[in-house]
Amino acid sequence: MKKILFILTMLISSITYGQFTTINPDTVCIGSTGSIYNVTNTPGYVYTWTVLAPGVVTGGAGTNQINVNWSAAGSGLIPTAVTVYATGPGGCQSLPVTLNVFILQIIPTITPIGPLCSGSPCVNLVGSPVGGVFSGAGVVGNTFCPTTSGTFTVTYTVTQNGCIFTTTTNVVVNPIPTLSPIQHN
Amino acid sequence: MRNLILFVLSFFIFTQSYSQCNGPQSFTMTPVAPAGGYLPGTTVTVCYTMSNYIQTGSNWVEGFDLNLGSGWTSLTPITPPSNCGGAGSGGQWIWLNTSTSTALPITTVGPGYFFDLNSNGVAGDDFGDNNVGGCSWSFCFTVTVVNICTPQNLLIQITAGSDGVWGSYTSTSCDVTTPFTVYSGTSNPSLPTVGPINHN
Repeated sequence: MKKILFILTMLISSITYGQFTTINPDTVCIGSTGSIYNVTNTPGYVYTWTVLAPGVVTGGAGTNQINVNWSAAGSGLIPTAVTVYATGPGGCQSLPVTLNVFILQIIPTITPIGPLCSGSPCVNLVGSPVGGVFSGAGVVGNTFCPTTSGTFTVTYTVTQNGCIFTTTTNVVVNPIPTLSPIQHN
Repeated sequence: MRNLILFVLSFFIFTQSYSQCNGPQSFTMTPVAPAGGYLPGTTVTVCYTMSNYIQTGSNWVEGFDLNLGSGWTSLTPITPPSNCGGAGSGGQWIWLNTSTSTALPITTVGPGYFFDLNSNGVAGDDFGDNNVGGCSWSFCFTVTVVNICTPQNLLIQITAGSDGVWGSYTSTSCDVTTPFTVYSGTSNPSLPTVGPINHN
């Protein structure tokens, strides 16, 4: 039982925090400003990093760990985006190690619905790409239920490789007209 | 048992080498060479001893010439041999980068320790160190492995020569000089290695 709990914990951690070990290419969320890259440190070594533009090293040069700002990078693959080699105490250099980087961008969409009438049946919500999560007032699972009138914001959230992308749409729910009793003059 | 005997014999041959007039030769290297070879930047102290010298035709020991591979640098003498001829014969052992004989054919050797009998700073113009009886010559020097990132030749050979070949004595009885190999390995640059890049 303990073992099962441990496995579940590890699984949940991996979903929450992304990679344990970096797969090549490495996935970076578009707009990321603080990606940390490292290699195992060996005392006495000096590490030389190269990051292709528009990536910018913002800290850690010369050490085994750097911070990189990818905020200026557009989506897509950047081959050999990160390279590092070590120089030993005797001045000898290691072979370089490289990492490709894929800047991930997803633009979710919601198929518009409405206007709806207050109290009318729930309406299915359709988002793209599939697999996202709807949220907001009036949202029940993958449906919108117009119980009251007003303008409601529906949010669709897609999570992939630790990156979170959202979009919203407004749903107008009109009140049902009310009539006074029929008068006979 | 046979293997053990062969090993002991091999070791004996390795550490005790003879040429025409040379006595037994031996050496120490500090630190001892690692399995993969010396690392760049390592300074090694080499001490060499030749016990006895067979003075055929009254040839005396004129010097010890060093032959170093290109992987060595910063050759530094530490201690010279003692004068085996005794104070009465005069002379001294000096370090020379080159020494040229007056005996024919004219031969230039060095660097190494050479015997300067007339104490004029020149070894090749006089006789060698007279072995008055079972003498031995010992000296030490240091050398450093060059900082080059490819394996380098770390050969160390020491050749003993008589005054008939490197001095001024006119005898060819000890003209055969055989290098004694102290070390014949290569340097181990031990290139750094970098593991995979992790993204946290």
